[in-house]
Formats: sequence, C-alpha cells, structure tokens
Amino acid sequence: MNSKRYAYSYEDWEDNGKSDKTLVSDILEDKEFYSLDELIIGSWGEAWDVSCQQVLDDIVLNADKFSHIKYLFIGDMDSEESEVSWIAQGNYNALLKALPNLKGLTIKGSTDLEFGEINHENLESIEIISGGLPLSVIHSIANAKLPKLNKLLLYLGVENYGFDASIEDIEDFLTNSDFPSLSYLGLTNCEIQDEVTKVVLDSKYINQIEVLDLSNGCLKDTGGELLLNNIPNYPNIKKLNLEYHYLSNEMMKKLANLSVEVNLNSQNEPYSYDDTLYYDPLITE
Amino acid sequence: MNLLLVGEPNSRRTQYFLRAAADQRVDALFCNIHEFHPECYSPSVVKIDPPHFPNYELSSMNEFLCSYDNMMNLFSGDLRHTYLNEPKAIQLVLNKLQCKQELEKNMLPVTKMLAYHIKNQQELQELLYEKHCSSVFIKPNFSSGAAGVLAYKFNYKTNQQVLYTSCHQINETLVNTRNLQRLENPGMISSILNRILPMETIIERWYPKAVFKGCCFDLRVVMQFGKMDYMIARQSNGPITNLQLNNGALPISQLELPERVIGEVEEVCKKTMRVFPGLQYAGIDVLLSKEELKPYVIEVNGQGDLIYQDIFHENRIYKNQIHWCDQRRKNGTRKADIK
Repeated sequence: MNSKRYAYSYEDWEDNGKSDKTLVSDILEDKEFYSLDELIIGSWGEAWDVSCQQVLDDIVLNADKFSHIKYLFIGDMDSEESEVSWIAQGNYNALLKALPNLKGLTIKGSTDLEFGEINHENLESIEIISGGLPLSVIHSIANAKLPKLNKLLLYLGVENYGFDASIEDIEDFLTNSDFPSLSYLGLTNCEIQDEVTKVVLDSKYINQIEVLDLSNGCLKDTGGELLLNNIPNYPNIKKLNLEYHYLSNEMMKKLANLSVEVNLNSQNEPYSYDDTLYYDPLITE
Repeated sequence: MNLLLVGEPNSRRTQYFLRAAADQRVDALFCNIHEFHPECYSPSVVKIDPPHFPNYELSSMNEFLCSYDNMMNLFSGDLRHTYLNEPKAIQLVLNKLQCKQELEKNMLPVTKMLAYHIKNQQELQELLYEKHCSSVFIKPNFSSGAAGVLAYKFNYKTNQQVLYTSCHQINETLVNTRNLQRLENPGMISSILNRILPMETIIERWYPKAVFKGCCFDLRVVMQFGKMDYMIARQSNGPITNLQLNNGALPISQLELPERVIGEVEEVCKKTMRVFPGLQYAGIDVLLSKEELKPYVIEVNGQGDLIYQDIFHENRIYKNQIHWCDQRRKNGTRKADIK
C-alpha cells in the first residue's frame, strides 16, 4: 500500500505561514499524492487551537482529486504535538459523502468531532482514537448505514476526557447498530472495560466477529472471568486482544490456555493512594 | 607539571577518569573538589568535575549553585594551572540564559526562549496566551540535570493544564527525584509552578521531538578537542529526556538517521564549541525536530562528559582527555599559550 504522511512542523506554522488553510493545497501540489492509497494527515498547525474543519472542507472541495484515496487518517499526532483530547476535530459528514471510494477512516481526537448521519456503501473500517469518546459520536455510529463495515475500533476513554456514555448506552449501541459484515469489534481504552466486556459478550456481534479487541482499558479479573467462561462458546472468534490490562497472573495463565490467539501483553498494576486503587486506561489525555 | 583531577571521591567520573589514566600509564593526582585550593598545587593540567548536589530539596539548589559559582571563581583566579575546561567557561554555560544568548548571537539554531524570569503561574498563562502557544519548558536558569525542569501545557480555551516534572512535593518540600510524573490536578500544578517560577527561570518553546518506535528522543553529543567523540540518543516516554530519569539510552546506529542529519548535528556542535573557546569538551544536548530532523541546541553542559555506555565499554572519552592532558603536561605549556 502506498502511504504518505503530511504534517506541518513547528517552523512551518510559526515561521513560514503554513496552516489549516494551506495544507490541502500543499498536498495537491505534491506529485506523489496522486499515486497514494493511504493519506495520513498529522499536525495542521496549532491543532489544539484550530480545528481540522478547513482541511476537511478543502478535501470536499477537491473531492475529485481525492477520489483515489482508499484510507484516510486525520490527526496523526503524538502528545509532544498535542494532548489527544486537545486535538480539535471537525464534522466528517460532508467528507464521507464526498469520498464514496473510501475504505478506511482513522481519526485521532474527539473534541468537536461530529459525523451527523452516516451512509457509506464502501467504508470497511472506522477507528477513532480518543481519551474520551462522546455519546453523540457513539449515537452517529450506532445509526450509521455501513453495509461493508468490517472493522470498528473505538477508544471509549474516561469521563474526564469526554466519555459521557453509560454502560446502558453502550448496550444500546450494540443492539441498535447494524453492521452485517463486521468481523473486528474493538471497544477499548475504557475505564469501565469489565462492564463493556459483559455487554459485548451479550451482544449479537459475538456470534459473527473473528476478532474481539478489549485492549488498552481497565480490564480486571471480573472481565477476564467473563471471557474465560464465554469465549469457548464462540468458535467464530479467532483472536482476542487484551493488550494493556489489569488482569492477575493467575487469570492471564487461564486466558492464555484458551484455544484462540490471545494478546496479554502489558500487564499493569493499579495506583494506590489513600487506601484506594486507581486504574487508568492507556490513553487518558 | 602534574595532571590533576578535581572532583568527588568515590564517583564514577573519578573512578573511570583515573582508570583511563592508569590504562595509559599516565600519573594522575586526585583532589576532593570541596578541599581544592589551587594555590596549594604546583602548576598542573587540571580537570574539574562537577560536585554532587548533596540535597534533593530544590530549595537548596540555589545555595548549592552559589557556592559552586564561588568555587569556580576561586579556581579561575589561579592562572598557573592549565584547565581542561576553563572555570569561567564552565560558569558561562551553566548560566542557561547567557549560554543561549551567545549561541543566538553566533547564529546557531537553539530552542527558542519566550521569556525570562516569569514570576508566577498567572504571568505564565498570560504569556502563553500572548504568544499563542500551548506548550513550554520551564528551566531554572542555573540548574543541572533535570533538577527543577518542568514541561508545561496549557490550553487557554479550556483551561486544561498538564505538568511533567521530576519534582515531587513531600509535605511542604519540593524534592528532585529520578521519576518523571505527569500531573493534571490544578492545585498540585499551581503549587509546583509557583515555587519553581520565582527561581529565575527561562521559558522555552516546547518543540515536538523526533520519534523512534513510539518514543521521542533527543541527542547527547560529547564534543572534545574539536571533534564529536560520542553521540547517544536519549529516549523517553515523557518530554524530559535526561538519562538520570531512568530514560533509555540508545546507540545512534539503531536510529538509522540519514547521514545528512548526523552531519548537520556534528556541524552544529562544532560551531557551538567555537562559541566557547574556554571549553575543550562539552556535552551538548541536541533536539531533532519531529518532521524535518533539524537540529537545535537545547543546552551546553560544560561538564557533560559522563556517558555510561562509554565508561563501561571503551572509556574513550576519558582516555582522549587523558591523552590531551598528558600532552599538555609534557609540553609544560599553559592552555592560554597554545592558541
């Protein structure tokens, strides 16, 4: 896959006048762009202060020139450039309409993130990386018409950074959404990962998916026990991603013996303060 | 002439410098830095190693640095000795503001200073608003290692703040540790900021650093006698990369940096050394910008030659110093006469 990343450095936007208003035209001036399958967009300037909406709008305005792009990642920044929760995102409704050939969309950051009504014939993969995913986004995805959606990976996050859904909301999401082609379900990076595990195991998708991703969250032995008791009932599941977890050594040994491929890397210990244990997902920023 | 090391007894610096001397069959004397009186020694070639900061409390850092400054004044007063690094030059680069100003005057790329001596958190936040900036480093003007260094982020639209620091507040005391922590609690952030800022600090732009396998890194380059003697990458999960913070040192070869970049780093470091002719060696911290791998000098350490990966292996840095000192000793010439 031909992939290229475009991003502005500090000097670009501080000294050389580059910004969200110039990024798409700079991309279009690059001859290499026209042979790409995947377009990755990093910093468009002060991404904590200026949203990417101009970038999205400019892609829409030049949709014909972006029609060859199969995979799009917007917001590829590390914490040196911006805290995840500070990345000012935008409204993807028009973009999704303008790029019917798009197969994969990855978004980092959920501040000001909107989708509106989603209806896309060819989108196969959505991944949203955040420290806290708002219920409004979860609702948009729940109501989306995505007949070819094969992979859904959502970093749910923590309340402090914008995750304002209850476990009942997640349950409703799993009940009301309709992704007949889904084979990879990831509801990850969550402070209520045990509860999420339960509702996923009770959902319709558990019968159809091949990969279950519950990584990067506060999964403890409660969730581990549920997986231990239920995964063997679903031979369709081939891989279980539990990387970054709070499982005990004993639970890890038991899960490793499941007849599926299990990723149990990155065991963590809770932080103790004043006789209280604190658990954090991987991304809480 | 004698070859004399002035430093801390029982330190690795002392141990390995003297080992380098023994390996090359060069006689080297040692004197405890706290007991060194230049006038008590016949004209010698002298290397001054830094004293240990005896106390982890940051409040005593200024007092310690003041006494170190006095020490350097005392050493520089005796012109009979040839110093590997002149005390005045060590003092100059210890003053981060002056060091930066000298480098800028000589058109060298340095991490940009936004302000000097901001007194409190409110002033700092006003500065960030005025400069349209969200992320800065706050460094006490006179400090070594990561002592008192803060990496601070402030989103003035949402009032969210993040502080990275190796300072920990224990009761009412700010203590320097080897552990970098990330703070989001506004009260704790205010408490630390309002104790560090009044310590005469420089406020620098936080440049996103180059990344290798998911961790950012910068470079420590040991320049000696006009050449790059050692370069190592300091990799970190957090923004403060000092090696004593349990960060990972990485051989440069593993980074697979383009030759062009290595060449540019070396060139910047050579030019940096020319700005401080009183230094025969220095440990120069260099940042590579994330997108273009452009080098910027973060700071110059006039006694920054301790690299564990070298002393436990070839001990090349100290061997080269011994060789230089021994040549000067045999020639019986003062450094001032050599140019």
